[in-house]
Amino acid sequence: MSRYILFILGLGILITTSCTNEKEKEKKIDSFDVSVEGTKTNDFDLMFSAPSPVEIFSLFEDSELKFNSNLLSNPKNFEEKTSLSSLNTSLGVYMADVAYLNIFNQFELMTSYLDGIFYIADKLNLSGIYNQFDFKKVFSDMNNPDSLELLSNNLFVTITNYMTETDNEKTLCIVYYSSYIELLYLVFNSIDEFDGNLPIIQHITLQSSSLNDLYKFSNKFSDDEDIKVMREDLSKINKVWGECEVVKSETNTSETENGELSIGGGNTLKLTESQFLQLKTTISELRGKIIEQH
Amino acid sequence: MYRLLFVVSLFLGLANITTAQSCKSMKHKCEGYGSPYKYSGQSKGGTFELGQTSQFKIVTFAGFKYSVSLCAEEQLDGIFFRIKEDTENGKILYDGEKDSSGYNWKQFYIEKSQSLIIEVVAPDKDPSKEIDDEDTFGCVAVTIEYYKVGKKGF
Repeated sequence: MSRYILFILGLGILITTSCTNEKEKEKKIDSFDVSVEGTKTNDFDLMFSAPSPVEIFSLFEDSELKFNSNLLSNPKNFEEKTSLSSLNTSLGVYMADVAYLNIFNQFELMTSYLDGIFYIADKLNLSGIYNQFDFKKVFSDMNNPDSLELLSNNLFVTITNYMTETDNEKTLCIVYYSSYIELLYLVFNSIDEFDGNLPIIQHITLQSSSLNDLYKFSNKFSDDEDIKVMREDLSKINKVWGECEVVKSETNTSETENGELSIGGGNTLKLTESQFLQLKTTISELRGKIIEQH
Repeated sequence: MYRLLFVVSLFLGLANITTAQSCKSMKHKCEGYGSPYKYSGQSKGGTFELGQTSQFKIVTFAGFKYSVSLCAEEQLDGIFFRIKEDTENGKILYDGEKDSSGYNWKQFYIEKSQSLIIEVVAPDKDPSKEIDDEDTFGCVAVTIEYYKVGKKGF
């Protein structure tokens, strides 16, 4: 009888696994046969998505951003982290640091941060990420800058996607928050003198949109103590962004030489020196708070 | 024997639950253009219903090219997307409904950094057809990709 049970279970595993593998081979999901039974809610609007730190830092490439290793967090003490809050914030901070190191091709320094990220991912039971992306393969090609950029980007995207899929969106908020604060800290503290016409200042103002979205998204977890604190801190930054002048300009479209769509114009936020300094101070304080916990 | 069937059903049921909750996981299963584009964290996925229209914001950077690909399950056939200005008026910059290429895919270049709205529109339920409630829902994924072309102002 027990052999019979094992046979049936084995057959079940075989059918389930082979079906999944077949599905993964398909290029478009319109050929997927995914049952939405039990999930008949429009959850499309409920998902949070935002650019990864690598995507944001690629904007600062070739700009006035200068490398300063003293600004980075300390990657050596990750094994001391035990509380859930410190693991979550450290994960976000390390991922932003990896993205920063990536644009300056600081590959040797990157290793300690990657060790920290994988250590924390294991502690947070995120081992499922290894099924989605072959990190080891990219690790073996550490001298290839393209490969490392892919690693840094996919690492963030895979971890945040996995958190969404496994309904860990509260953690996702904290990871995004700490990552963005670290990123903004690194950028703001790379600018010695304010000049509103510098592209780097224009690039900074763009980040207000993602922080606003994070604030709105995190509202559904506002009963949680960590999220409550995060939202209070976020609102300090968003308040300054909210006071910035909006320079209105209609968005327009044209065609490139290749006949492709080109989008120009569009509103921009104008940051004054006083707002810049206010943001720099607030972000440095919040980053200090994260690092203390971290 | 009944106990055996119960154990087997439970096992297969659990396997199905894993599949059933996977609309969110479709986010990274919608194939985009690929190299030289890189996958953006701004990609989105989830469960959609016939007749539903949803919008989400993406941040786009000057000097970057973007690719937007929309994938959906069969029951949402006819679904399309628009790219709109992120303002109250929401001026339409690209309308997939009027695109004769027949593909749910668009590439574009950004001259000045700004946030844009991606609006996904699912067709209405056909009143002449009898459809089970569960067939009015389906998985949708929008893959956003980016790459830096060059520095052309901000």
